[in-house]
Amino acid sequence: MKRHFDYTLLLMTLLLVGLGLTMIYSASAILAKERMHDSLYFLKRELAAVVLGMIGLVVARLLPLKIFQKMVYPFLGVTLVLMLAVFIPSLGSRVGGATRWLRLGPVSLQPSEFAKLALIFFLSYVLSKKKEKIKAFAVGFMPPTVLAGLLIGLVLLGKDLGNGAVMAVTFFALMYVGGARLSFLFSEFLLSLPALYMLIASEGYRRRRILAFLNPWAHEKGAGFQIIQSYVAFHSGNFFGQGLGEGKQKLFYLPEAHTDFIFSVIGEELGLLGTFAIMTLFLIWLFRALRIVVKAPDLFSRYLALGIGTMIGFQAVFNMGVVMGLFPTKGLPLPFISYGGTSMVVSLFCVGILLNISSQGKV
Amino acid sequence: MKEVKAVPGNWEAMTKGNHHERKKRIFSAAGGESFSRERFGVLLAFFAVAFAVLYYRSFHLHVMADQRLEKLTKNQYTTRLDRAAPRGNIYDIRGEALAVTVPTDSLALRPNRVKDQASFIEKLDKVISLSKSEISEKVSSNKKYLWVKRGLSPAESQMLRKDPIEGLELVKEAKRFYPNRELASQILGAVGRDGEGLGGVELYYEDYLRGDADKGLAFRDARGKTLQTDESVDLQEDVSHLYLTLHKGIQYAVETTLEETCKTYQAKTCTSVVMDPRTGAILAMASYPHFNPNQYGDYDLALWKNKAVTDSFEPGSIFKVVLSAAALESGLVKPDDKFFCEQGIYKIGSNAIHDHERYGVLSLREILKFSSNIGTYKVAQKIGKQVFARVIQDFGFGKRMGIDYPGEATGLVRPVGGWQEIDFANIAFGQGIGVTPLQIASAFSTIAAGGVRMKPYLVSKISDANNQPVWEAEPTPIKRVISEGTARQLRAMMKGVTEEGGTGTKASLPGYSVAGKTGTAQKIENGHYNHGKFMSSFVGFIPADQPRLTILVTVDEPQGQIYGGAVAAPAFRKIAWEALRELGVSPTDGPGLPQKRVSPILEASVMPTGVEQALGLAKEAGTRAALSLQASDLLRQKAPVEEPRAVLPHVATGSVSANSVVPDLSGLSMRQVLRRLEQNGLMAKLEGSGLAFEQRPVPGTTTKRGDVCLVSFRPRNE
Repeated sequence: MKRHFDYTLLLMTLLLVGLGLTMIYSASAILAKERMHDSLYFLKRELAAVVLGMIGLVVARLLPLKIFQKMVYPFLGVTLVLMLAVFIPSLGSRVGGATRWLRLGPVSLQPSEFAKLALIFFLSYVLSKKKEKIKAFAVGFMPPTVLAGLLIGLVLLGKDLGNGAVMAVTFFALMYVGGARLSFLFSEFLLSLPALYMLIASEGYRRRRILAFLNPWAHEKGAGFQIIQSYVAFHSGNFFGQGLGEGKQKLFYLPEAHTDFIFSVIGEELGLLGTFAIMTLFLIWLFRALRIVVKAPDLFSRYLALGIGTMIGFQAVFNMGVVMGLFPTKGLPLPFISYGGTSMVVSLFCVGILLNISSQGKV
Repeated sequence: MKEVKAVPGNWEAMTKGNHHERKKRIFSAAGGESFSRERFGVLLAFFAVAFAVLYYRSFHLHVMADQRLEKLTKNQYTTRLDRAAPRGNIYDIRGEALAVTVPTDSLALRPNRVKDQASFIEKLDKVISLSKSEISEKVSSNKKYLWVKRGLSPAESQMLRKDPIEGLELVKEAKRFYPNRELASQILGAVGRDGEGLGGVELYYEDYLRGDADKGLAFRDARGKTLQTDESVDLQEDVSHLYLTLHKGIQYAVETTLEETCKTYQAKTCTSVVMDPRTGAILAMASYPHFNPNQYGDYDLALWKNKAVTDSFEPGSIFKVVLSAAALESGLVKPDDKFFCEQGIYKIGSNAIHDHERYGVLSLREILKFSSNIGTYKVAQKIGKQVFARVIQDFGFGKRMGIDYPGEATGLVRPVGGWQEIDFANIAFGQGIGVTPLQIASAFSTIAAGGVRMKPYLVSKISDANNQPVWEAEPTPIKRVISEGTARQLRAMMKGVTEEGGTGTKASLPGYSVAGKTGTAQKIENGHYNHGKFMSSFVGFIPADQPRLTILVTVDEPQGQIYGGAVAAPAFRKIAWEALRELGVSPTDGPGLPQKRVSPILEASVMPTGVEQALGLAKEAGTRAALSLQASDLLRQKAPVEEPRAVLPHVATGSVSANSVVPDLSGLSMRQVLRRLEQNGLMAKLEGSGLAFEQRPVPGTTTKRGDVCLVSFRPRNE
């Protein structure tokens, strides 16, 4: 039976992607001109990713849901291989000290983006299979925990703390809603604290970022520079912004203007109006995604929808929070908006899955 | 679990069904499902809170004021540095330079070009007279450009030229230089580092003196690309030069005399105005202590004040001249009418007024000569409050004189309706009224010149960058205050003051008759007259019958001597002596002083011996001034600072009776407007400042040459 799918969710997604492309151009044109001698360089690449992502979206929308369930382990396996391949020097590429990218000919992949999806697939599968057994420690709680720990650990080894955090939150959210005992979850959280501390303490820049987060003005020219420049961008945006393309912060002052800090450029150029618009689009998107959770036809797709919604929703909240100084600075793109091919393709593919589920559920 | 087959999620049920039903239906898939509805709700709540926080934070960052952010924004967007705008020169009436523009090197820095801060600081520290911490602060600034030091010494700029340091740039700037240092400093004012007039004539004539601001542009920055304008900017293109009415020689005599007087009597301040009574032109004007505008930063701002214009004081006995003028002008009193002076004490209600000596019957002439308070009051009573008040007003007291100088004070004249009898008496002999030295000088000039009050002015001529005159001042009569006859009678009476037996004999000068009046006013402190603090003054004009000079000297809080006749009159005489020679005025009454010119400092040895002896032996000829114990509410008040406006009343042109077409003046500067109108043989009446935006008649109108064109200006960037 042919069903309708959630048009609103698709509309929100397309609006966010469209706004994202506009802002990527605005934020990157001058940088691209200077570095690549082509002001459209980043826009073109992102556009290619959007095209690819839209194909993925349609595919994910049309595939039978059962196939996803069958693909869980093969997908997990491929992801693990990619994650490990990053550490092979001839394949992995280091950017800014972080080993996150896998170079394959002209394209480079960010396996940690796949890892996020693999984690959701796997947890959805496990939770839908084990059901009440999840409350048991050895048979229910441990297996998903171990595998999630492995995936997150690999992501963190690639120095991708941002995605690691998103995965951890998604893991806790799924396990929590999936019925895992609070005592287990809490103990696990406590156990992860020393590891978190080690992570922060082991890298000087992370410690500085934490300090800068606590008091950016004391580190105005060092670690606090980026966040203060982000404040400056928001502040000069005021109610209606400096006008599209009129922002100055992206020129010299705001590192990562077209990637992780694109929200700040939106704030400067489109003002309060722009940031409220983006936040509202995300809010509606999230509401629709969680509505799909409620209406999902079976447990697997319900957990799948929950995982995707939580992951993208939390990542949006986290990115905007970082840019506005509510969290310490982490490298993490704003879904649908920031420049980043893998993230875009995976995100759009996820939307395709959500639309697929929405078409199966009861209207 | 009735509806086992039901699709687990049911949105309608969730929204419409009752709570119980919902709980059963939703999430109730087969077989011990673990998906927790409550926990899902918690997750929703988490997101709701997170978004609420994001909305709030975004609002806060965008809209709430944050000074730190605003300052940072302003600093890091600074993409240009303005170098000091070129300025026109200021000359005295004979073209002697008072303020000139000299080229200087300034040092600018682009911190982001400095690779190694430590070695930069080390290198620059060796060259420049700045501390390491100052250099360090500048190099770690978040500004894109900033000045390191304005106005380098020749040695500094030479070293930097020889060994350039990465990140630093030498920029040629215009710098104001005052070759005569303190001379006329309070009239000239000073110029700030960016070439902006900060006070005095420099400020009042800012629009004329200052060149095109864009010519001063040092750097421009477009998206990180830096350009430097070419070094060889003409530093005096498009400026006007000012010619003041001052005579440098007279000004010099005034300032040295004031300094000497101030030091001799350990006075707080000495002030003087020298005016041409026929025109209102200020020939010299100064206060001591003064300041050096080349290093204005080292001086207290109070020393910038041209107290002759900006401060008011209680004139004391010199004001008796104004009462006498009113008396004679009213026709109710003749110079030789007699008044009984009550033997030194006279009761007015519960108060009493006193004379310093017990006078009996005195004529008006004698009252002025001996400076009797009681006699003055008797005269005042005869003419009445209204007549006196009107004459006070006609002389211009209580209002600005309209001199082309910023911050002129009005003085303080209480409305006549509120005068009690004791107030009337006090004002008659100059207490309970506030006047500026300029107003007094103007009043005496009015009497000297035959009764017509002239508007005082400081600028005689404005010329363009090529030194072609574009505007020349014309004396401006304000109004006739007293008749010729009254003026003549007053002059004769005031001559008596400096003659044998008068209070101002020390002002007399061989060869010239002097008309004047002494004043010694007790100062008010905290609402009461202080018996130890006086304002001593002498005002007069010379030669008495054909006056060329009006000279006022006030000495604030002299120690030892207090009487105006003893303290201020000798200063008057010295200034007069030098000024008459400067102007080449021949003696009018018998042989004068030796014509040998001793300049610029008056040496005691060249003073005629008679005068020299008189200086040493003079008896206390001064008159004890009014000592009413009635506390007056009048204190030396602060002058309200008026916004400087360059308003020129009219322009002298060689008007020929032929037709002329009114040119389009919109968008032109005042200077350009004057030039254009002059070319077209039209007179200008200018309003406001900045650029022309409105004119009458409209462009293209055919008018007669010599007609007036009214042009309104408004500030640039409006």
